[in-house]
Amino acid sequence: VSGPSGGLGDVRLVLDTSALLGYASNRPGIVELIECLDGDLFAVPLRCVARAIRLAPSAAPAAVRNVQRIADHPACQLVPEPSAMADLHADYASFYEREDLAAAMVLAIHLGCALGTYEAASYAVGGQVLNLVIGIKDGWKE
Amino acid sequence: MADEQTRRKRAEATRAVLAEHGVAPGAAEAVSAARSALDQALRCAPADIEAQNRRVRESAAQRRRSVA
Repeated sequence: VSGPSGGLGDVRLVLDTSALLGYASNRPGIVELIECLDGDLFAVPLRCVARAIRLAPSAAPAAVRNVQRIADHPACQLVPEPSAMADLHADYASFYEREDLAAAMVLAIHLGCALGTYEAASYAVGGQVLNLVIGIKDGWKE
Repeated sequence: MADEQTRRKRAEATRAVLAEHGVAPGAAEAVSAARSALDQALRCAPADIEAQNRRVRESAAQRRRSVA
């Protein structure tokens, strides 16, 4: 685990691959979600960082740099898969057929926090998306 | 949890990093709406999470049985 001082107990939000790509392109919705943490932390699964770097347009090195920039964010904790949740991770990876979605969901469950994403529907199980999933909006409105 | 001073420092550092990268602070209304979404997500019922985990475990077990 890397990041600023403070344990994972201060984490209130997990960001997934789509959120990282949104951050990399300075989409407003993700910036506002990070701002409202008010000094608490957000966590990013290492697997999501790896996928976001792979998906960032190869013709735009700035996009890759921007994804890497998340690691330097003062509120960011980079987290590998919790070994205590390995079985659950394997089951979610099998269900979603995507390791990065499984990593983000299992980490949010493990930490008891929210999950911010631009692809909320991808987290549906039996047609339902858990309340802990926040579908990030570019135009937040009450 | 971190103490108030640590949280304040982190919040200031967050704003500084966003400003450094040319990101304007979010509009107050938008940040407030994002905060509401976050608060609601943090109230997710453990029973709902357990029910989802059970469903995913059963599905994965079924898949393993069908492959075996």
